[in-house]
Amino acid sequence: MSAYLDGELASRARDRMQRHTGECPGCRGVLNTLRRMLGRLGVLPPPSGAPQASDIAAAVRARLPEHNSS
Amino acid sequence: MFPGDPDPESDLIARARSGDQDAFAELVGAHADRVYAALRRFGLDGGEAEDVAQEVFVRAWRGLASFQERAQLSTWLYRIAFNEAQRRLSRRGPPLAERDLEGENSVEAIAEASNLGPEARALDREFEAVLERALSELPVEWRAAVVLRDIEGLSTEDASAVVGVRQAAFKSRLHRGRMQLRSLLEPYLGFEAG
Repeated sequence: MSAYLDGELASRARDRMQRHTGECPGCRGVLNTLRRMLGRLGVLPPPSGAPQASDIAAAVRARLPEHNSS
Repeated sequence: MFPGDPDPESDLIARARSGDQDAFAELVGAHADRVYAALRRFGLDGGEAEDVAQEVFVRAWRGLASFQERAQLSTWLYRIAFNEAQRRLSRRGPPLAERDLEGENSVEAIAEASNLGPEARALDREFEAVLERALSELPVEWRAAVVLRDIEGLSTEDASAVVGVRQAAFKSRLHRGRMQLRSLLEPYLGFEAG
């Protein structure tokens, strides 16, 4: 099912999956919820409390000479 | 940018390789958000993720000479981040997710979150919190597969390279992670059998 959603199934396997989910409400339900879930995962915002990228860059920049000279 | 123009990132990488720390800081600024987000979702808390994100870039600076430009810089950084996160997580003992995975508490907690009323359910932010919580319940390897493929948007080929396994093994982790996540979210998502 995962490979089907990723478009990674060969055409015969894909056809079988489409036929089966067309006939089986249980599997169709699983497929639908998976599809919805993947849609939401793909648009999740960044985790809360993230530091500014520029702050990380400045902190890393400050550490480089020390490591460079070691 | 026109065909034949140098890729700005390649230019920054070349300058950083020659010792230009300002160029490297630009690369850090461009990639820090994604690295930090991936570290959080691999299982680190905010403070750890910030520390480790810095460490990832310091390691990248040291290893720039070995970076193969055939790979994308972001994929290489995810790989360093994944390894650093694993190192941190392994110091903690058995991950909470693996201890609780078979228990009912986590699932019930998510189900409770779905019972806050139709108005609350309609809020994207609430669902996002539930989704993040469910994600944190997955075993580390399955979670990493979902994070890299479904949240960070890497290809299967790149994501399997990040975690250092063959594509078939990665796909298996991804499938298990997705199915477990769907199962945890089922009380919230509900069935759409039609």
